[in-house]
Amino acid sequence: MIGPSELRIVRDADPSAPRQVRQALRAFLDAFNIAPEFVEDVLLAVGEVVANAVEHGYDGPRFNTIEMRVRAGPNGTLSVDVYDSGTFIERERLPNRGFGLSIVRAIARDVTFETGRGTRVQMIFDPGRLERLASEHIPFRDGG
Amino acid sequence: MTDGSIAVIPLSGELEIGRKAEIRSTLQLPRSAKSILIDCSDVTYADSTALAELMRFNHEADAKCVGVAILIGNPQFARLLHYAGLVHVFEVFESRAAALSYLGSRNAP
Repeated sequence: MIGPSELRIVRDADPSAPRQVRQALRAFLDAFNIAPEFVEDVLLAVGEVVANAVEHGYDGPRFNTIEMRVRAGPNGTLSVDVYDSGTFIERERLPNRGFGLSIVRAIARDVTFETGRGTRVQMIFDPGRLERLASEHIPFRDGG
Repeated sequence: MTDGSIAVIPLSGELEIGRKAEIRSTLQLPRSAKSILIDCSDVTYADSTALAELMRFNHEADAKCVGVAILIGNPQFARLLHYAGLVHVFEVFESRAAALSYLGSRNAP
């Protein structure tokens, strides 16, 4: 952590990275007393982006690096940037992998991608949107 | 593990990319079961890696006319399915009894 309202973490893009990044992000979010159901959704979206970076970084002869920067913004918004030194793969193009980006887009208010020498994914989370998501009824087979 | 002609496959903990190989090896079709309950009631976190493996398993089971139900216990798993648009792709239950009843009725002649 580099300040009370900003977090920066750099990791090798190995398969343990998503879990460790989520743990660091959870600790940061807990400090802001954000509702648990909001925290879980933010962790899920960020975890998907980090997992994507790991998946294509892990195939090469060496691990790429992942950097995550989190900033608390105005009106309770949260900005999360994930950088990696590889090329973003839209797993939606792969059989049975069409879910990660859909999940991120369902949760974050804005998602932007920048590619070039590496990939930057920026997600903006909005408390109003997270509140609406948390209140949605999810119908299951047994009426849950 | 079997419950009558229903095989039960338990998954637990965090189902994410770091456990991809383990999830894949766990989600294998049993030889004799007519239907399968994937018990995710002890799953604490899941992401699209888990969904991809569940989709693969579901397709394989469907091809062999084996019924599959998923038991969930964590709201995070429920929201994951919702955001991925998969709530109605899988047979998802929050009650073990309801899931077993569904699979049992499916096995009935």
